[in-house]
Amino acid sequence: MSVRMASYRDRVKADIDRWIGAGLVSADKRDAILATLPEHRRLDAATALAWVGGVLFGIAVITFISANWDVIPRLPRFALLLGAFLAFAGASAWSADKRPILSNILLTITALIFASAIGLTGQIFDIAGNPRSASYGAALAAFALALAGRSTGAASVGLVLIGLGDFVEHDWFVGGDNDVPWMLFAAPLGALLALRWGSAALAHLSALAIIYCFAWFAARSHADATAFFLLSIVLGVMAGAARWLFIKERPFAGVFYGWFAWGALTFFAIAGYVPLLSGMDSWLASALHRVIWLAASGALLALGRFDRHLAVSAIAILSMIGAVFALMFSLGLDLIAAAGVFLLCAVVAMIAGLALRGRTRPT
Amino acid sequence: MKLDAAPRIMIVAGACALALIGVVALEGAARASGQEVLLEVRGVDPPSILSGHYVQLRVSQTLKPSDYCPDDQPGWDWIALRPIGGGVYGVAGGAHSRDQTEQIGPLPVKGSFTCVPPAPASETDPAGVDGAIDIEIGVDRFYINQNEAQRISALLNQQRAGEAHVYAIVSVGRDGRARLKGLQMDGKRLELSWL
Repeated sequence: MSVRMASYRDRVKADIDRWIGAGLVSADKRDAILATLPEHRRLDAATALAWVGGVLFGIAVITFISANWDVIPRLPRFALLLGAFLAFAGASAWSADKRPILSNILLTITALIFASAIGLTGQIFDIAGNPRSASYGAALAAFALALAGRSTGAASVGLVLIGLGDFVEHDWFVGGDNDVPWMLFAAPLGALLALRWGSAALAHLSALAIIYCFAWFAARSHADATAFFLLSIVLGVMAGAARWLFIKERPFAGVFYGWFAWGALTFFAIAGYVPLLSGMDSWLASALHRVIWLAASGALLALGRFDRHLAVSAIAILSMIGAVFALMFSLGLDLIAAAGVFLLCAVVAMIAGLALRGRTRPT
Repeated sequence: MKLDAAPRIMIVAGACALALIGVVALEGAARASGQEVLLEVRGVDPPSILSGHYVQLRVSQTLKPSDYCPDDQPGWDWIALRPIGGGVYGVAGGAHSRDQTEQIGPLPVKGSFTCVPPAPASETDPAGVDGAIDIEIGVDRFYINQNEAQRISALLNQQRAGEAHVYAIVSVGRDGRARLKGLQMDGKRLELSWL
């Protein structure tokens, strides 16, 4: 999911060079103008490798402690586990001001170690605990560490653990459980932190977590088409809100814009394949659904191009391909009928394109 | 007062560590203070491939052909245990609540059971066929080093042929939870130690 801020400086740079060439701006103003625009921080290869190395190191520590059953007695093993946890937390605290990325990585490892510490402590002392409580407890600790150290990695670990806790010993997605998943609270918190702290990874995770919550609502509706339509509309509204933030150049709002647009189209597509309201489950209703799906995909493609959001445009194209196949299938491969529908859609798309062109043409 | 990130991280980490120590201490105290009972166990067949450092167990009471299954209803989450001889306990019945369970048997424990009824002696099977009560009380594995795990697995296999007797030593706390204290194998106790 592209982010507008990522390319804005480059676009301005290209425009200034063009304006200088055209004599509209003097060349000595170039650096001063560019200095007013923030340099977008990209995750470089070294930092990405540091993240991978850090997480693998954390896993190595966990595996070492859990594997040495014959060598280390129970209490020293527990002490080693706690020592590793506190050592990583201490290292993260030490580097919090001087090296924020290192601190973030170390706090992520700390959260991972604590999650495994809960499981390993249960094993070390043969404590038969509730797996769901263990996941939720570890997730709360990860979020607490994340808030304490402003760690996007620890918050991501927290989100994943909440997801694990939600799935352990639950039958939500077959409608067999009445408990409320903790993700309903964790996903908005993750989204808020992603926007406040400007984290792409957390933004992707929390956007997916929000769609997961919508899937839970859909599962509770026992595959009711109306519920899917409503959820699709709500996701569409949320995509609109994310687009508004994206246009305001709020960092990483584009991530939510892309995922919510994908979610809205997906829910809308699924709605056409679950039993519709009684009496409406007909060929006409199916065809109407596919046509609206196609039109919505086309509209999203136009919007994605207009906003220069590559991911939204790609989602719209994939959705259009899906809608075309679905329409062909629901028309029973009647090529004459299909040709008529596609011609109608093409005319609508061209009229819409012309209308947009007319609106955006400089006067 | 605004705290810097470093002390905030250490405060949260300290609280997490204390919570973990608290869980260990409380569980240890509850295990030590609960009522100790012996429950018949069987090995899980087939054993887990990754069970290098633990033994998978199934708490299961054998029913002789002359025995019968206790009453059971879906949704019952308490079991009444009663002594059946030699310090070994068996299922007396189930109920919705602790109070109801106490009227059925002397020791209530949180859990559920399923019963396969025995077949009484008949013309085709003069000895009858044993039944079994599978008891779900959260005791399903015993963490131990690899050598001990293999030895216990071998004993559990011998038990299947009637050549050994393996029991789970379980502590039933005031909260009704069953906590595994160790195993008793042919009269010898193998208990968890913290060292």
